[in-house]
Amino acid sequence: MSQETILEVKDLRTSFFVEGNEVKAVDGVTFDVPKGKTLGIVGESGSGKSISALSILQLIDSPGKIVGGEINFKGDNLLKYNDNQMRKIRGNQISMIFQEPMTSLNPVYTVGQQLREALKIHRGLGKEAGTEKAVELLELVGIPSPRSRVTQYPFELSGGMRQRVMIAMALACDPELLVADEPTTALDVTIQAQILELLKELQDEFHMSIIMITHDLGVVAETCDYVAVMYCGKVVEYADVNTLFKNPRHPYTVGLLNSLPRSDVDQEELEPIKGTVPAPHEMPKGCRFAPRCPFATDLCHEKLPALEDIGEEEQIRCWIYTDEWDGDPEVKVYEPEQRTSED
Amino acid sequence: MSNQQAEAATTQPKVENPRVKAIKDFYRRLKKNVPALIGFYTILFLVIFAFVGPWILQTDPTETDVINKFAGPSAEHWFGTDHLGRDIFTRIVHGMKLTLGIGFASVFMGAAMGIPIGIIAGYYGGKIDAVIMRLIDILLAFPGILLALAIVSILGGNLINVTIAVAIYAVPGFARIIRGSTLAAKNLEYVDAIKALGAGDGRIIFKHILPNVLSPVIVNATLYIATAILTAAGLSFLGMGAQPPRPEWGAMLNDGRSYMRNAGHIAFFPGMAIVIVVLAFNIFGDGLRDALDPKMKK
Amino acid sequence: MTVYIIRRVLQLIPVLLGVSILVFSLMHLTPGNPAQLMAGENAPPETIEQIEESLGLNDPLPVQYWDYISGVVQGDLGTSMRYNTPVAEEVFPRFMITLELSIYSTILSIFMGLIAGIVSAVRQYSVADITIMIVALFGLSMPNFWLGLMLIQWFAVNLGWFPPTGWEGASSIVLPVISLGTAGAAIIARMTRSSMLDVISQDYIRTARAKGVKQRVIIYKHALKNALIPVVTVAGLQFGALLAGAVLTESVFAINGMGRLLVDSITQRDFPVVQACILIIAVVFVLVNLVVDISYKFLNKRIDLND
Repeated sequence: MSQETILEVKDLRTSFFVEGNEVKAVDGVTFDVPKGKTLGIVGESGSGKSISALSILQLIDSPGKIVGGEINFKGDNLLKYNDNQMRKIRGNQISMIFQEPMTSLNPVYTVGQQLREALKIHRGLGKEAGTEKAVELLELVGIPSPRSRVTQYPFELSGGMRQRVMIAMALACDPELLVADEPTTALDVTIQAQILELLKELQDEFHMSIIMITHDLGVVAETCDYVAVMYCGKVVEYADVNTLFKNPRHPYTVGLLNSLPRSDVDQEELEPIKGTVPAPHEMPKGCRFAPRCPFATDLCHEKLPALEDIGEEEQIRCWIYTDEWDGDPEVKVYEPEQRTSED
Repeated sequence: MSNQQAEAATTQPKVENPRVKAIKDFYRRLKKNVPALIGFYTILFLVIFAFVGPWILQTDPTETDVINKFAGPSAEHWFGTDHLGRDIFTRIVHGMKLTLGIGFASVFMGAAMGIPIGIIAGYYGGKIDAVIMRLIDILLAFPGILLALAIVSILGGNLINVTIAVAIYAVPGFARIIRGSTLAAKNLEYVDAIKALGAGDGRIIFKHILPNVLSPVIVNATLYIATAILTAAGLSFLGMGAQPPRPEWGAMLNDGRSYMRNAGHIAFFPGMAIVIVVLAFNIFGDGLRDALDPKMKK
Repeated sequence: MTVYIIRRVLQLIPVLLGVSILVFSLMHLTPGNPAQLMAGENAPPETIEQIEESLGLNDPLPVQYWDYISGVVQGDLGTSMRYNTPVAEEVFPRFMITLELSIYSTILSIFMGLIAGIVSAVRQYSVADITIMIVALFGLSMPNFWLGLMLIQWFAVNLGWFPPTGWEGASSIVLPVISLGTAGAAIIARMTRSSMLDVISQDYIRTARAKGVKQRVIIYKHALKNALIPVVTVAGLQFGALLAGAVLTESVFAINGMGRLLVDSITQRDFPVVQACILIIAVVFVLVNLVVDISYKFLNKRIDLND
């Protein structure tokens, strides 16, 4: 790979153990995060994207458990770290922001107290120095009159402001990697755009890498450099953002794009993907997407395809692109089409 | 039956009544809660035993035996005898009916008064609600056993009055819980829809609100039986409930308190009996709450 | 906040008024002539008339109530029929004993309940958790008067560690306080546990972990402060329940508190004393709840101060 990789996730497996059953929420996920770039992880709810994100910082609560794989951060496997070592990474080199700004801040502590906490843990800053830095951080994330905000409680702030505070908290110790789990989903559209813009600016300023977890391809198009598409706990396609949007290959990715309203092509109507995500206990044994895939053959239903390299920095998990493909050869030649104005 | 009909019968998906399904669902979750089941079967056993026990024993709970008084537990007198030589085990078995009777009766009466009050307050709201809630607040200003004590001081001390006192003490609790659930149920969108279709208040309350508030009523009633039994026993212990020679457990404790130095068993066994009954209702109530709590659904 | 406090105090007025009316009616709701009841069945008519006169029983009810309430406000709780002394003089020293007993028991309840509840929540489903929860279930299923009797038997009669009765000196208060405080401790332990478990699954706890905060700090700083908020309300209610429960404990331990006075007065139909005892407990309870409500609002930054 041509550029430096800051985080390399290999065959990550995270399962939940409920009443004696194992539910494989993340089932062998592999992706790389290039340094200074943004990787988007897209998928429907239940695809395992948020669990993957939480697994990176090992924030999985019982009954969930990371059961296998490697998470190599700057060459070190984080899964080999003990609790103490891991705590020194969290909020320091790797930070995280969450979906729900309304509930992600502790209601009984002031904004300043919560910002100072990370600074105290990782930088040893005392109260005064911490407050100064907190004010600086709030200013950085575009909160007006930051000095008066540090003494306010979260309930005194709007959702957008709270998410800015969360970002300030995440940036407190100049992290090298920021994991953003649906950071704009709970916000109004106008606030969404501002937050995404802010993240981009901060990334340029601090040369951070970002993992952007989202179900919104619009967010991906705006912010990401690379994209991993997840379906049922597995990555089905990994590509750079331009390739993915111009030439999506996996039938699921194509389906996702077709169900998206677009301004650049004429659409008579949106075309949703048929069927629903299978429940965890009735996972198909072949390709997870086979029951919903318009091209699925017996092979697809029987055997799970592997995630294979096709072309530079592009990986795909689909039988169509293998030599074993037993379906219509034309599909292989023309590839699943994204709809354009001609149809 | 023709083949066609048979086929139609088999292919048609079975539509289950949602209420039946809810009950089945509830039972399935309750079955998983082992302590709750233990509580339930204990209660069942106690209720049956309260009726069958005296008949099996064939002994008289008021029969005195002055020679054998203060006897400790033995093969003949399992729990020993009291200061009049009466067999404590027999008295406990006979007292079971009283204890359970007071518990069930007072909670039933309390619910019968509290539920309509709560529904009216919650459903009609406004001034009616404000007035009812202020009155409830006034009743709630008398904590714990105090309200029952005040009522018994008016009515005079006997078992029926104790039951009434404990029932009145239950009213505010029921009314408050039901009011809350009614408010929540009233704001459900489908209730608005039914109203728009022209359903009357009575129909809405009985067909749509009441079923929705039943689960908190059941949980509250079960847990409240435990409190009622403790309160009634307390009043009897103070000499304001059951009068001698009735084998009421609180009154038996009162008998035993003077003999703690030499014959602790007189107070020990009736107290233990109260603990077991109250424990059974508490465990069962906890289990019911967990099984009925939608948050606990998996 | 000030507006809230003022409004909350104003809301007390109808409640206190209602409480005083109920307490006042105690005597009048009793079947039969209260004067006759007090004087005894065989009392000569002159005595009854005298009692009626002294109680003002011949005035219209509103006038009687007005006389009663204006007396109460000035600290005049009437005259005890039994001792023929002012009720206030009779009740206050004994109220102080009951208050002491209730306060110590509440402190014990909160202290034990919090520790047990936290341990249980932090080690959910561990042996310690299960043991604590079983003990708590027993604790709240036990009649406090029975527990008192058993404590007397074991620790006073058999072991001789503490005096079996009375309220004099440090060692005499141990058993009554345990007897009265156990149920409260059980309730607070259960409440603390479920509140802690609820808080631990909140988003902001995950945020704290994502910041690299130590597990201990997360529990004692981030979780506990939030979990305590609902516990405060329960502790306030417990205080009231203990104040009333003292009636039984005082009876068991022969403590000359207000509870015992109340029971004796009910038996002897000394209505002015009964009224005074019930009124005092209710008023103290209402005031404690006021303080609890205000501190609840103060602690809980999330709720709107305007409602």
